[in-house]
Amino acid sequence: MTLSALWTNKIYKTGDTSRTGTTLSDDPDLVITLTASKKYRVRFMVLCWANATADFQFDFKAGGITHGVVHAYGNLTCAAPGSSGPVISHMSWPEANIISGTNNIVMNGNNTTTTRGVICGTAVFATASSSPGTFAFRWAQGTNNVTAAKVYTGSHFLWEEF
Amino acid sequence: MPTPTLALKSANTVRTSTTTLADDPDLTATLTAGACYEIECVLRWGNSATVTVPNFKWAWNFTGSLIWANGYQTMNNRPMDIGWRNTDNIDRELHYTAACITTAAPATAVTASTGVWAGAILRCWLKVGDTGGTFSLQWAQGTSSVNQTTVYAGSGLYVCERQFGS
Repeated sequence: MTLSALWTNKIYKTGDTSRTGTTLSDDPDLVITLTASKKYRVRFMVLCWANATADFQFDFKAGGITHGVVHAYGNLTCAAPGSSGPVISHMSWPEANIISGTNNIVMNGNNTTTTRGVICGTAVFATASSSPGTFAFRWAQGTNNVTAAKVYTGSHFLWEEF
Repeated sequence: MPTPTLALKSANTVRTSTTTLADDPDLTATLTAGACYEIECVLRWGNSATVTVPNFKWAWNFTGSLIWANGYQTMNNRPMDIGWRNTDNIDRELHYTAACITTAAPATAVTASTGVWAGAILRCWLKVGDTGGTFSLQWAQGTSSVNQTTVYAGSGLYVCERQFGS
């Protein structure tokens, strides 16, 4: 086999993660430790759910990057199958937002647990010459609710370092 | 084993008063004769002033020969309030042929406004013919304007050789 870039760098969630609370924090699995003076391409897919009261809040955050872009698309409304949705929405973050961890997005939840959200896309960025941090998918509930929001098994990061 | 490449813009590129598609100076790659590739561009662009006409257009361009090619785009193609989200954007898909790529057409025009920018993922898969060459993202203003159109630092072009069925 001569295929290149067979995603030797990959993280697949092997168990669901559940959360209550509205404070964004790194997913325990979807985190990459970065190396100084490198370029990265990260492809991601996140399967998630929150109920219609809580909603699902997320962003991407990285430390020690100099320039880059994250572009994602997904069914932000989490609409029920057969309804008018889901709406495909497109989201982008420049390096300033990625570094600061600002401009988080809130995806509407759905009370049907099998109606899940999906967030796909690609990040490309370069790291600084010293003290890079991590690149992480962060998430939380949009509004506090006793029913936990979830990120599911199978969600993943696939990345290449240049 | 071929090594994938990532060309990442380290500085903005600005263009004014032109609707003529031209290669981005950074988002280019050399493709080899007979090889197949997966190509992805993660793009961020914007304008310096309010415009009500299409002000950004783009196309793939390849100087060699192609056997086949196809792809799509996902793009924020409406003005965005703070540059990362909008609620009424439209998903535009673009399917193109080898002929479209070699002639740098069709181009897609989208609209932005002051202080905002748009993002996109442009992807394609292709097989090079007997002649290798330079593959590039071309872009220009959709409608000529003295207001700047910018492709921002951080935008990147990923190129990876793949094996596809012939």
